[in-house]
Amino acid sequence: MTEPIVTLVDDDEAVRDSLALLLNFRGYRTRPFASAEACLEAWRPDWRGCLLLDLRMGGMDGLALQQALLQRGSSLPIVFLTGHGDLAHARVALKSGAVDFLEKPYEEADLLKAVAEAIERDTREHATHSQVAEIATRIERLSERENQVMQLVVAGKPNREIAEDLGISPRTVEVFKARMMEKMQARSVPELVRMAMQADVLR
Amino acid sequence: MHAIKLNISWRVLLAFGLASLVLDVLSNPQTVLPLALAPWTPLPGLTLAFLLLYGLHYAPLLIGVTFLANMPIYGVPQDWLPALWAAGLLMLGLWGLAGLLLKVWRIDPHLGSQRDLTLLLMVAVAAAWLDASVHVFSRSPEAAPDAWAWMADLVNFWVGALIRILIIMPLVLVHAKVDWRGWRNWPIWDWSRARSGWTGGWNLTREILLQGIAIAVALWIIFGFKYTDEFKFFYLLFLPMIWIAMRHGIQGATIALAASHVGINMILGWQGSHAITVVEFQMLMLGLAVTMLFLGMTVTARRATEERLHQREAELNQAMRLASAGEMAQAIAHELNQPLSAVANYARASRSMLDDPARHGALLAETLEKIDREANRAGQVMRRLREFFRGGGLRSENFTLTELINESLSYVKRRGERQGIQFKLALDESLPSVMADRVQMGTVLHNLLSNAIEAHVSSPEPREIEISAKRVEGDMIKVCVTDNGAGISSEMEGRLFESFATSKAEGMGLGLAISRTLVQAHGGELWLVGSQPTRFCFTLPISGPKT
Repeated sequence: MTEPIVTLVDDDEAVRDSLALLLNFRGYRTRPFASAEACLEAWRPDWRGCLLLDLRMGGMDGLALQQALLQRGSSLPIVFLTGHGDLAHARVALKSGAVDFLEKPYEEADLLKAVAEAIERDTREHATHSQVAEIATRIERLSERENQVMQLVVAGKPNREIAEDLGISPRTVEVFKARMMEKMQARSVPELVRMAMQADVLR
Repeated sequence: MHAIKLNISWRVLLAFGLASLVLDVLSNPQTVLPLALAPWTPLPGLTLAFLLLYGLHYAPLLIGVTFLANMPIYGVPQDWLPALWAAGLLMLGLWGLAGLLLKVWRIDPHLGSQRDLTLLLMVAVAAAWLDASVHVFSRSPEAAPDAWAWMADLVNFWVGALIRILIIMPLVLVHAKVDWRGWRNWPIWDWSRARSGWTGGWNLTREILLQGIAIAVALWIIFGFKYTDEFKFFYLLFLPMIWIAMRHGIQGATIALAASHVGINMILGWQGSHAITVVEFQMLMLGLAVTMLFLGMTVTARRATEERLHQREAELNQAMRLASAGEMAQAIAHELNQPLSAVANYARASRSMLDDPARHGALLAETLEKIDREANRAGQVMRRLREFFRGGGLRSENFTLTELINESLSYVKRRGERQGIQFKLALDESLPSVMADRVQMGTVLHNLLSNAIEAHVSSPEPREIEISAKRVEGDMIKVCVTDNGAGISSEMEGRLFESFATSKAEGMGLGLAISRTLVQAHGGELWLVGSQPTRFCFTLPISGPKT
């Protein structure tokens, strides 16, 4: 798992450099780019953290980069930085899922808050995503019988009914159920139900 | 049901009576048949024009006015009842025709287009026929012994009436809007101002005089030579008429037609022409009248289109100028934001470095260096900006402020007049020309005029804006713009010239700030003299900015 990094895109060298310096001192790792094109080229799906984008740039601007990244399936939260009076742009950016919009000159507290929130959101989303993926792989590893038993357990049926439904003895159900609980790494039936719901709802 | 309120003005009736009298005196006795009903019947051209201009409800009154006006000359006729009938019939016809023009065809009574003129011409033909029939039918039987003579009289009278209608009606319609009481301010009297073009000054007066002389000369050639047939040279009259129509449009054409018609009638009266030559003359005159009216109308319509285009262009220019001011403000904001953001970021980081100076000493020095560099960069933006307004962007040329004030006024005049604002000019005519940037001074004037107009948005009448210019001490010219609009609140007064201070919903608050900068760059000053009425003045050195 890669650690969170603040990816900075600003075509103004001084702004980029100073922002990176400040964020470094506030405990963030940064990855600066001088243009949207350079950032897009370097982008990889496993990037974690957030994006800090200047709205107005020569060449590709911040909004275009946002769209391009969305198209490639990036879910990195974006914080936009802008000069005065770009209200129309701000609306477009926020509609496309930008987390925040900072107007230059901004207060340091606002910047740090926006960055922290963006990273937290990314971490949370990433965690949920990986949890769901984990549950999905566990379910995949179940045998057909174990899967059937799991479905019925989650549906709330006692062992006797499960045995009737599947046409096997309650004793055999006990065995399948124990093996299934072990594979799913569930310590109790409620935990199993929660996992199943998470996987179902979020898949 | 609404109560119908008829608006009747005695001035209209008086004008109609006087005009009837004048036309009676001027009309050719040859073409007016000596009839009992003469004092009753209104003149069709004049009547149509008045009905179109002032309302159809004037119809019955106009008969009365005609009678009153004619009574001193003709006395009360003996067969007054049939005469009144004939007059009523004629009036009814004219009333119907005027109604057709106004309600069905919806023409502009002041003749705005070729279409209006064409429809008017058709109505004139019908009105002339009505006039002719009423007169010829109501004659005593012995006036025309057989049907042929009777027909000839009808046609003769018809054409004569048509000419009179075609000359009188457009003349009245086109000039009805003229401000007669302001005759002292007409550009033709204004010989002192050396204005170029046809719009005013001595040039215009001279041209009109020459055109009058040209008509007189043409008439003299047509009628003056004893040994030529009277109408052989009639076409010569077309030359000055075309000249006039081309230069002065429908207004000039109608006046020139009337003048030459009166002139010809007087000459024919002196010479005692025979009836047959009158018919020939009538046809020529008809051709002349129709040609000149259409030519004049074409010129006027084209000129109106040109003016509209010019107006549109000026508005567009203004919009572009304002848009670019907005863009510039954005660009400046962006340019300044970058170094300022960087300085702020560096400073915040530096503060953290001070927590452990031993470890970050070198980095701190480097960062402070960067802060200095960015501060300089911001300073450079400001310097570039100042150069843009000052010396660097200044293109001085020689021009008179009177000219520029008139030009600036022409851009906003229509907007102001739509709000019922009267513009007063108090310009010292002997102002010397100045050396200054014409575009920048135009921007200053435009800002002041726009503010003055906007101050009138919700102010009571009378709404006035006065622009004055005079020479003051120290070789300066002082220009003031005064409005009696909403005034300036005391709270606003202190911040007037600050950037982004505005009382308008859609203002940037840059107008006065930029204007003052521009005036100061020229070595002048812009200040507020009084807030109620609001008066802004600025001075400008005649010799231009000192370098």
